[in-house]
Amino acid sequence: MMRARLKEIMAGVFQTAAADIPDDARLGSVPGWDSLGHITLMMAIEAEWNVSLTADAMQNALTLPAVEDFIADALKAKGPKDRP
Amino acid sequence: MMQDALQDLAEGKRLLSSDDAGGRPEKRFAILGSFTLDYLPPFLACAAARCGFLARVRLAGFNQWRQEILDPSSGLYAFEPDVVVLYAAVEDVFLDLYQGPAPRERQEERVRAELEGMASLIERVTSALPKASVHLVIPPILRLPGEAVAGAREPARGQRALESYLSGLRGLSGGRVVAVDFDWHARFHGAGNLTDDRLWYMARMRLGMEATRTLAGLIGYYLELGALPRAKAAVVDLDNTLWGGVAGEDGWERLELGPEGVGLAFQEFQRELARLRDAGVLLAICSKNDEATAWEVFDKNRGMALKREDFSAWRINWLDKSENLRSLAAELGLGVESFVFLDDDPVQRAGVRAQVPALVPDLPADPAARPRFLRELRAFHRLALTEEDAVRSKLYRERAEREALKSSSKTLSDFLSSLRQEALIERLKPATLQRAAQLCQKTNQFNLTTRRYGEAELSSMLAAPGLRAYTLSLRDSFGDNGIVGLAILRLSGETAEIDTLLMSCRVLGRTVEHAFASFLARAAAASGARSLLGRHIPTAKNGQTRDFYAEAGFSREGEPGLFRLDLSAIPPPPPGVSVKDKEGAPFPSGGTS
Repeated sequence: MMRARLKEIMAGVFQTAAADIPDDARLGSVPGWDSLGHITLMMAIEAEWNVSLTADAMQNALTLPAVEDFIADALKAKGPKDRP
Repeated sequence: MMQDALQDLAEGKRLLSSDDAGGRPEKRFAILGSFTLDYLPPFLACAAARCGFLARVRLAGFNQWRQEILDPSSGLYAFEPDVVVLYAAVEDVFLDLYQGPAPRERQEERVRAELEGMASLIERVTSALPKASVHLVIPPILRLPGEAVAGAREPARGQRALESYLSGLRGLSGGRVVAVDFDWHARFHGAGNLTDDRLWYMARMRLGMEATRTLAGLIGYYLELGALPRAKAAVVDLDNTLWGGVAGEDGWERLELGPEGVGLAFQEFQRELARLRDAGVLLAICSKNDEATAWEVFDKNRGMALKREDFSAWRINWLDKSENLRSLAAELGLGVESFVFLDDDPVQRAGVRAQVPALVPDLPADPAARPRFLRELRAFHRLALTEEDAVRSKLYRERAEREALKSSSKTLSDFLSSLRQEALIERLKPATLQRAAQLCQKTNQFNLTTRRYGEAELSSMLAAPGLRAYTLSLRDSFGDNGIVGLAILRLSGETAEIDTLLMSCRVLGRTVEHAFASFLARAAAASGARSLLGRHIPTAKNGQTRDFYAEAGFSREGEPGLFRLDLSAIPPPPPGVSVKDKEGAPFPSGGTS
């Protein structure tokens, strides 16, 4: 479920279709996912899930699965009571 | 909101890559920055679209601003921008101060040097790009050199140095250099959220995404101030706009208006309108109401901050508001597109919007939100208050009092004699050249020949044989109107000709124009002419002067628009104005006493 939503967010940021983003997408493998697109993606994720990502996460979440992991970690760090 | 920023970002990218200008004029922006500003082009494209432009944007390389300016063959100049946005962050300009404490003298020296350097860089840009404007961003202080030192005057803190730099930077604005005061904006709206340290470490961005969007909006704001004509009049509704409640139902004494609560919000709204009036904006009323009921509120309710005489014109009746706005525009001599119409009723607003091109903003439903809304309404903002703005509001007030007197006088001649008009006609002289040239350039309605002489041409007439230029200034019981008329007489033997005759429209219809023509006839006769020619050259705007010479006693010649006056029978000067002339005073005569 998170993956589908994440692909939609990516599609919005990279200005492409969600169907064109493969499960193993990574920085550089999808048009628009360049260094600036990557930062924009991080901002969009923070806004979507109301989480705060660390610089470490931003620097290392360079594949779609890694991005997912960091979102899950950030949601956990927030604790259940903050969840929307 | 971040979501809005993300949306704008996507829209901006689309605009930048689109070839379709959609009929919008193109504006070319060159961005020079000391740090990564990659988000600025798309946001700027959005902001420009909101001002009606299609933006073409070139972003210079990271921290290349000095090189680009100094190298005449750089991409900056090849791009031929209309607007150069220059953003040098204090954190970059004073990098050395951020690396360790420096003594006060050294800091002051650095500030001086940077300001001189910036002035000369800007000078290079403006001289190499003679049409471009430079939007110089006054950078907010995102970090102090020594935040751990709390004393405001401690050199280690660096606060004084940075503040003096910013104030010097503001001093560089003027002419084509516009200060985009991001620092001031940040003080008001908060500088805390401008930076995102993560983005600095990841991408050398000193501004976060939303802050970049804010900056683009601010650049758009300054563009708009330069490009859009400012609204000239605020036309207000009465019930539930100027006061809370309906005068005709609640009665003047039970309206929501006074020093407390919602009544205070209405009162503050009135005070904001008064401030606009002081800044040269005309106030007018357009209300569906019984006129006597409405004035009763002005006369009796002590909560009213505005008085009757603050308004230059009004339509208080049961007619359609669009019609009323059109007739107000005609009365005030303004285009209806220069009106801002303020009405609490969405139905009235929609009706007006559909029928006249006035600006009709959606007044907030909550009266408490309206004073701020009015302060922030961009249509009334401007880069600078001119002396003319202050004078205009005074002139309008005097004019309103004159109009009041006119309606209280029984006949026109009563009115004119109560005005006690005194006209002074003088030869044009160096001290009056500027005003004369301004009248020549601007006067449309009462201008018989519409010859647009500039200051240089007029100055060459000062000593030219056979040419005499005269200015007319007018005083009346309400004050001094200054120079309001200009005439140029060409003398050659027995025939003289009026080359130019124009009057500012604010004094028309008071016989002054006829007194001027009568003076010209006498001056021509005194110089030996036997007949005087007058010419009407029609334009789109001077229709009202078509028969002026005929009314002044001239007879029509065969050629259309040409009139002749036999100087052996000069008609007597009109009543209602006493004329003093200084004809005969040799030029240069010096004083004006």
